[in-house]
Amino acid sequence: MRKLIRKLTYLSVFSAVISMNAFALDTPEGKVLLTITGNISEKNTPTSAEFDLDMLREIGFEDQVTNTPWTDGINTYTGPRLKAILDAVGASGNDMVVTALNDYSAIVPVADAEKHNVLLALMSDGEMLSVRDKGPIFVIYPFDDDPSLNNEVIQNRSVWQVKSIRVD
Amino acid sequence: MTIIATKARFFLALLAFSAVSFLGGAVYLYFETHRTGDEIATRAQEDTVWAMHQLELESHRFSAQVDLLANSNFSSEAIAQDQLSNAKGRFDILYSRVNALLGGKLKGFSLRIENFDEYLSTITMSFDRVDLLLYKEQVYEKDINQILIESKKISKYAKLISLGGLQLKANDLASDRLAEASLYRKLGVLVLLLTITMTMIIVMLLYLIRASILDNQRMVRLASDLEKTAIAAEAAAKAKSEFLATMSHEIRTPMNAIIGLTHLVLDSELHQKQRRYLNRINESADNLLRLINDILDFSKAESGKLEIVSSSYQLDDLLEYVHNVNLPAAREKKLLLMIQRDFDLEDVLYGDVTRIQQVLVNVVGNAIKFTKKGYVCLSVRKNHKGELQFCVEDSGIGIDSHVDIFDGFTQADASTTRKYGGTGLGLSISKKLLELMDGRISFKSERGSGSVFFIELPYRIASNVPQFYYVSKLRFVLLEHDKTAHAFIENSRYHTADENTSSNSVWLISASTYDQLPSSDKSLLPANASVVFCDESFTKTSLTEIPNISGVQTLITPKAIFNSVADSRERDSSEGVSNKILKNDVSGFGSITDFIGAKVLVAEDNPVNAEIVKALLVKLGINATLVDNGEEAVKSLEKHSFDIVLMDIQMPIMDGVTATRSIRAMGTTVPIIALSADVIDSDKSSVLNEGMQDYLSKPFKPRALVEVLNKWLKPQLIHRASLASSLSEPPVLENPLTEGISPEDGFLEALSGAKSHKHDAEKATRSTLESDIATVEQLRQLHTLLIQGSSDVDQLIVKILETEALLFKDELETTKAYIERYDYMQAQDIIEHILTAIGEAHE
Repeated sequence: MRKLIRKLTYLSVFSAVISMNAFALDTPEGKVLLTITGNISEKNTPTSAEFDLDMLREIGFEDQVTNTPWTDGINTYTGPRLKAILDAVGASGNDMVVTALNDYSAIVPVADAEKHNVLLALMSDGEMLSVRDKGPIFVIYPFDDDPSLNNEVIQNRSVWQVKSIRVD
Repeated sequence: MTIIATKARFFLALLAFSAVSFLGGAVYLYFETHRTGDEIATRAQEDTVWAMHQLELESHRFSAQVDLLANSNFSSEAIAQDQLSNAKGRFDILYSRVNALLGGKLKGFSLRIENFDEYLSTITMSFDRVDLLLYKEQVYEKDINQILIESKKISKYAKLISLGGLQLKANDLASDRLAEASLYRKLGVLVLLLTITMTMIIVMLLYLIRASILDNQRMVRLASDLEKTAIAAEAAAKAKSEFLATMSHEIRTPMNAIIGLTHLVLDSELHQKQRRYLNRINESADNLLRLINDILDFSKAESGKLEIVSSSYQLDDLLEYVHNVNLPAAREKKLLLMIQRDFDLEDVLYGDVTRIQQVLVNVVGNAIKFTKKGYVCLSVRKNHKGELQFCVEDSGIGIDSHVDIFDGFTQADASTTRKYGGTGLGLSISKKLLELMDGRISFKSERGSGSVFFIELPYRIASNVPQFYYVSKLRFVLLEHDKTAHAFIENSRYHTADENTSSNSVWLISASTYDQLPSSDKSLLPANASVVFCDESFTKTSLTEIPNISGVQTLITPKAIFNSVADSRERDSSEGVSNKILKNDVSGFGSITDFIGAKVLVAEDNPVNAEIVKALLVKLGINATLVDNGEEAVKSLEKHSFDIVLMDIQMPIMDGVTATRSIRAMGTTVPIIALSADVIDSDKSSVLNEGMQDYLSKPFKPRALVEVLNKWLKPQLIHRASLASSLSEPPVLENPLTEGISPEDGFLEALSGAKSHKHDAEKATRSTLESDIATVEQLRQLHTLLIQGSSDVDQLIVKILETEALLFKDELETTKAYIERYDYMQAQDIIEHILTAIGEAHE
């Protein structure tokens, strides 16, 4: 009985930890798709906040219909808003460095996330984006909603095969 | 200058047009160089080159990773698996680079690379093989080696693509730069052209500004020159008019003497020859005076000083005047002078009758002057515009249409000046006068077949004056088939009468009907038949025929017809009306008895003129007192009373105007008539404003003096007569015929005077049975002498009076007085009635 009580106590402590984590960030269970480092308040590793597909889905997927200079035709892109992710990790800073699988990186102002309602696309037309197809994460600016975005600076920020973001 | 300026303006417009074209071209080229499409293409090009480079880079990375796999002995399976996973990741990334190259806007550029399809298919084939080998469940060493070979191949072809891209980009850049350079060259040329054009425009504008400044300066200079000229011209015109005024005064004073004295001498006993010469002098003086008046009028018209003074006037009086003035000349040339008016015109019109008279006398006089035989006809009617139209038609020499006869000093032909005389000013003056009266003059003519002058004036009716006085009193007799005449009389104003009651009626025959009458019928027309040309279709033959018929009236106005009827009734004589008019025109100066005993003061400094005026007045039985300046005149008026004053304007010591003011200051209302040799109209109105009643311009004709006296002296005398009950002169009778009509000719006055004598004589005869046969013989003899106009009548009347024929003493005394004044007709009248009275007594 005492043993049981102990067990229960452990359990409650564990669940308290779990529930605490649930209020902040979950720990990724699947493959980590996105790692956010730098000036953030919410982390699930000592230095970063890591997200798997489920966590990203949990933040909330939205659709963005647009064309891009690198794709043919108009596609529906689906994924979390950059702003929502930054909020989730409690990011504070002016710029972020978005880095791709091939180590290409671009500096994106934090303000863009809200100003241009930037989407971190995981899917295109309902299909998951593969690495061969600019996956796993493609930074989508709404080019069709705001044609003025069609310039080199924004195109430069439209990183694909994103693997990590560092908030400065 | 203006032509140059116009040319410059045209050139400027051309330049502006080119400038705009060049500018348009430049703008087009500018946009051409900045076409957005090109920009995007260039950007895509850059991105593609970058993507190719990335492809090459990733192929090398993959190759390196595979190399690592192939050449190393991994310590554990886990590490080997990890390395394999890394290789898979690299491959995926490499794979994605090819997709990137073919996606979106990059594809366009990629496909343009030489042999790109070949390279791409090689790479894709290698990819497929690598994909198969790398993702097998178990990857063996030989597989890795195979992958390594494929990776090398991919690297090689990726490099080829990359290099091809670079080359293509270089080529594109080079050709772009060439195209751009050509565009910029074109742009440069356009800008150069534009600059040149603008420079030219600026030069032209400067030139124009300079020209306009010069123009302006010239204008200012011209304006000041003009002003100087205008001042000079004004001064010249003033000098001219002053000269003319002086000349007119200086010429008129001696003219006065010539005309006045001629008239005086003509009234005395003369030899036939002397009378003829004096008549010539008289005519010449008249002509000279007319000439001077013409020149004065002309110069006044030229300087715009002619004045129009409108008042109401009787149309019939105007026509009678024109008729009477022109009749002697027409008779002398044996021309028919026909004056007629439309009876539907009102009697009393409004206008400047003096000026209208002047124009008509001039035009009719001209017509007579230039007509050798035939007729001159003046007819008055309303034209289709409702204007008063005077038509003067003649059968004269005609006028060439190209001659501007209204220009001063021009006659139909330069040679006519010598042949017909005259200055040619008359028509020019007439035209100016008519223009001043809102009228106009024109003519229709053919050389050799006569001419028609049309004088048109506004038809203005005098208001508040009874019209159609004479017409309403007349009765007309018409021929049955004379439709024109019937139409003429249709108006209710006219009364028609039976043929039999012809004593107070007038025959009215239209010209067209008259033409068609057989000559036997024409001769049957009664003496008082009037051919009224109430239609316009009269022919020249009928006009020339008319003088052969006795009693045809040449002045056809209601008043003239009325008077002729009244006349024939009064005298019960068959004498034609035209004769009466002729007699009237001779101006029976001696027949006027109205002024006997009147007292007239004459203030005139020129002794000759004073003498003439006095002689004329004395001839009228007037007591004339002469003074030679204004001061004397005022003094005389203080001491004595006068019935009228004739006052010269320019006199030494005190002039006429000042004297008049003094006289009016004394409270005297005696009529004062100005005498002046000046004829400027402004003088006339100024003296009338100074308290004078009327104006006689020297030299005046006796008739003009009589008219003035009639107007101003007669009322004075009537007034005086009504105050004094006893009358030595025959009483002045109110004649219903002359009542209310303009200063009637002296004839009717004289007639009424004779009537009163007749009455007295009859009364005397009835009261006496005794008579001296010898006296009757003498009276008969006297009657005969009077009819002959012999100068022996003076002695005979004295002789008769010596026989103390007491019965007719008063009448004989009056007769003597008439004889002394050479009024034989009045004397004849009285004697006739004495004889009739005696004859009645004997029966």
